Amino acid sequence: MSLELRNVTKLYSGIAAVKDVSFIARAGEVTGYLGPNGSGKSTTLKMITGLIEPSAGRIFFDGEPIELNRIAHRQRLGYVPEEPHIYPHLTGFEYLEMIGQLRALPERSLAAKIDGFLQLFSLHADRYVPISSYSKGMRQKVLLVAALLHNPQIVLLDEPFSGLDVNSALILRALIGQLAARGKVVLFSSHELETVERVSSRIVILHKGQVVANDSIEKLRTLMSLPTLERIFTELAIEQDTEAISHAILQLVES
Amino acid sequence: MRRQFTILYRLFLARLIDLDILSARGDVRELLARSLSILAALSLCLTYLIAGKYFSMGLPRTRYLYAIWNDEEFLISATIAVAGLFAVLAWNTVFPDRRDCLILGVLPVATPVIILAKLSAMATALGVSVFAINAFTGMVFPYATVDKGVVPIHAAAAWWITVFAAGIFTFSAMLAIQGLAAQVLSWSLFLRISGLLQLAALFTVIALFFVTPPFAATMLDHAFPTSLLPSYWFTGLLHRLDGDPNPVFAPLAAMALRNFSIAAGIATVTWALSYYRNIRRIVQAPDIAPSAHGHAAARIVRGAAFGFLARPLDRAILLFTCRTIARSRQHRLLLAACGGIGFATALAFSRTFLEDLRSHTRWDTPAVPLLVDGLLLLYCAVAGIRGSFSIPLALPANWIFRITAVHSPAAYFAAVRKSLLIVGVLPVWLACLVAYFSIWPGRPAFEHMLVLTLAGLLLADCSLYQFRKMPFACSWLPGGVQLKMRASVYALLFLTFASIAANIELRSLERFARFVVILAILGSAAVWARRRAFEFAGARGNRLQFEDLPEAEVFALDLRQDGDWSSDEAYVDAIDPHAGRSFARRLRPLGIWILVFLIVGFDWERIGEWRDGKLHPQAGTSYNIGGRSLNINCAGAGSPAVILETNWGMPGFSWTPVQRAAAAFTRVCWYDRAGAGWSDPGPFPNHSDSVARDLHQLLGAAHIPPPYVLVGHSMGAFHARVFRGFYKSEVAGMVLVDPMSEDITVDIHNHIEAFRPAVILFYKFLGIFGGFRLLEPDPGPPPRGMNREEWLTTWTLRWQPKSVVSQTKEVPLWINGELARSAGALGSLPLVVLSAGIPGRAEDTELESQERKLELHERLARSSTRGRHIVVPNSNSQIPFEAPEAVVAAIRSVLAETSGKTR
Repeated sequence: MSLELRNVTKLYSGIAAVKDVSFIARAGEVTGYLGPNGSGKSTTLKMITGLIEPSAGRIFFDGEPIELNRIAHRQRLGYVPEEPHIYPHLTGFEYLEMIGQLRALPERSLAAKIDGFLQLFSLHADRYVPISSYSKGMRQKVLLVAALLHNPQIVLLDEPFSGLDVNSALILRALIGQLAARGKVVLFSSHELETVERVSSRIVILHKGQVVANDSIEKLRTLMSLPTLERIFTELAIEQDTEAISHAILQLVES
Repeated sequence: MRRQFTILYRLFLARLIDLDILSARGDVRELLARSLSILAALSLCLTYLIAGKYFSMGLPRTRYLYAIWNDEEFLISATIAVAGLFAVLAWNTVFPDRRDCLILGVLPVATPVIILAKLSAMATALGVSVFAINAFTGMVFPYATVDKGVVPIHAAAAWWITVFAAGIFTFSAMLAIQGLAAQVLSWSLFLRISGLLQLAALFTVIALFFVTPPFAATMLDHAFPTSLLPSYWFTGLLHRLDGDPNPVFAPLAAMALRNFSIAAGIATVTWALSYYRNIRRIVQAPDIAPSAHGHAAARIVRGAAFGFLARPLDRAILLFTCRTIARSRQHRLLLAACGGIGFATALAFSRTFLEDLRSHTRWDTPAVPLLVDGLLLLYCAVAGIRGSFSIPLALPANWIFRITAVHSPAAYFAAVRKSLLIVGVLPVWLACLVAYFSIWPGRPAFEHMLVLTLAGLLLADCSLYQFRKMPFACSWLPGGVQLKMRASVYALLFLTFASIAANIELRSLERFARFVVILAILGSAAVWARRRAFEFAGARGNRLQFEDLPEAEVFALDLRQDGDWSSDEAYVDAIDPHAGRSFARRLRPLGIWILVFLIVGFDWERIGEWRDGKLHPQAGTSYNIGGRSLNINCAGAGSPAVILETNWGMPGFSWTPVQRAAAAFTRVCWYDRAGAGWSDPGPFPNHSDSVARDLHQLLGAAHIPPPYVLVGHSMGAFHARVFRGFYKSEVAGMVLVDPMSEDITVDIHNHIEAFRPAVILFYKFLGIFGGFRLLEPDPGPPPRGMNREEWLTTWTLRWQPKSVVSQTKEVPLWINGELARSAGALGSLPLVVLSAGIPGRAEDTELESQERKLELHERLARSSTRGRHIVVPNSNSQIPFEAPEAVVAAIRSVLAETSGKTR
């Protein structure tokens, strides 16, 4: 079981946000998807979900183009978006219940399953509070539950640690590995390089919409003769002199 | 400081109207320009409609004083409504909100500057709104209606002071209510109550505008509580400012000033206090937490969804709909506006019940206003819910619907329809069920509920046709004004339609068969709408829509392989399910339905005729007068024979009461003219000349020898006079019962005569397929001179198809009138002309006033030297039924006069 992107390109007003991206994310391994801001990570994930269409190229699941059966693709997909956009007027429970109903999950066990999730994510006490009152971390947890509620085969995580407290982050880190170990395709995008390094077995690095690295971390370390993922990432995706820029900002603040 | 004020003033002015309520992503300048243009255009229309007439009349002011009072009150009422709507729309921005507090609270801006800027912004917006709605009326109306004793500029100043005072009062009153609640209640409770207050304010503003009765009539009715109506107070103020000494206005003006002071005072104090006291509270208590009550209500809704709906998708969308409407201020407000308009219009329709308890319209039996009310509320509920579906909430969150869309679009469309029915139609239906069954007898209430059920289904399907959106989850183009205009036009059309439909329904409730037909038509329409929606939902390529896109000027052919459709963003219109079907093919279902109706109608008519034949067997004998026969019925003995000629459309049988009484002293015969009663149809046209010849032949065939005394009722009088003109020697006397006059009929030209053959053909067609049986009105109670059976027989004969067709052959009236005129004067013929003492509806017109009719009858009586004119005081024009004894007495007196000559 694998998710494959073949020469996928997305143009916005003629400008390429993602250009000729190809990689394979296999079941049983966590694929880390890295890149600086605006490099096209979220656009790639949205194309995989079907929320936006590629301008060129195709996406395959198990060798079959996903557009051939979008409904089946949606059924096997769990997605945590970059921004925690959730209906703020619903309570956490109501939102998750609605998603379960929309996904046609068996309703007899749905409430119990949601309750279980909410307890494990420490949201149970706030289950009847509107999401508008939730902190960013709480919203992120709701999104995680929503993505996992239907036991998806593909898990797409776009900055899943955003806003999470340390405890929840540690749980999630462990969970990501376990999901992969259960045979799911996990594609995981994050700026937290240390976490990615610990969790991922394979890394895809994007820079200006193009793939600049696509291999296992060990191989990348060996090939580039660099000790850490942070150094590899800095080498491949960062062009600016970070020290010099921070110095310039300080000068502007004090001016 | 001044710079800060200017920046804040602009900011507050731009944010004063809650744009989210009116249009997502709305542009404030465009919105303001549009709103003001609409108000000014409205003012222009009002100027033309209201002020224009005073210029064209050219009469002194005192001659139309009441009209001026009513118009003044109406214009002030309109100003109050506009100021009230403005206050409702600006409800959440007049006080500092969370955004103000978080942004301005940390900036070095003094509170007085913020207050001043906000106050100036509010004053500007309110002033411009009040000015716009009075832009033209305020310039023209005071001059058009000014009294001679008042300087025009003084009148204009009084007008503008009054309308601005009314506007400020309304806005202040809203502010005062809100401010008091903010000061008295805890902040979280205030936030909860505020929304309800806003809805109540909106409803009050709309209801007051619609149900305020006309000023002049109300002021004359001292029982009416005028102190409750702000527009009355300010009308009083206007007159006091004008220097009007009428004592009616003094207390109203005092009330205006007193209430203005109270409202403005409370508003100022509470509003100023809110800036000093509430800012901290706002920051600390950011949101409304659901209360225990809210939680319980949510559980009830959830339980109901699980109880009513089997499919999880249906439940998801219903619950999402309910929760969004319950918790989104924007959507609640839209629904409240629709509900308010619906209730207010319903009240306006029913105001005859409210204002005049002596009204002839009874509320405990079906009446048009109450029938309209149900339809109107249903329409407003469906329109409100459907409109709210289109307004998005938290649009970026709609990705979840896209990513979980595992059902077919048709399943989503069906779920949306169920939500609309449950949230919009069901509550109104249940409320109507309780209301109608409480006030009406069971059967009409049940029948009307059936009509409402079908109307609800029809409205729901029509309103959702081509609606591909998830409720609240699709973007909305700011150019929704076109939509608003369309909705307004639909509302006006529906209002007109509902009024007509209610009249038709009221008629249909009188007869079960008629009701079945109405129900079948409505049911067919509902089935058609459902089928159309079903076809649309199942159309290839149809899918849920999450982006509101402008109509494409160029349509892509989309020639990719199956299943390879464009993305949701670039939504491709669904294929028209009717594409490729010819016009004739599209009309086929309609044709089939018409055919079914015709077959059923034909059979129904045949069965009805057979039943009528059994129930009302022929009274009289038919005589052949040359290829066709006429029916005549004689009773009694003696000479001269009295021959009774009926009014237009009536069978001879209608003379039964007169015949029964007169047969005691002479031979009395009534007969059916060609086509009427039990006679065969006659030629076309069949005017008085051919009627007279037919009668002459019939009397010969029936061996009834002359002389005759002719009795003609209404149009029958023309026939009698023409008969006398043809056969002078055979007529010994005449009684004309409330006769038509040729001096009146000469001016009646209702139809283009060239169309008459087509009309006759159409009537024949209607008759064959049961049309008249369906349209036949309720006979009502029998007239004084007849028993129930006789009246039903008369009624049945009157409405049989051949009778209706024959009536059409006997007109136009003016030809009969001119034939009667040419028959000449009546010489020394014994003659009695009877006139109805109670004028009927026709006598209300100038053409046929009671005075003129009596004068013409008098002149007719004088056309014979032995003529007499008698007014029957206790009868309307239906003297043969209402006062047969008067006709009998007239016959007796004419016979007495003729006895010397003939016996």
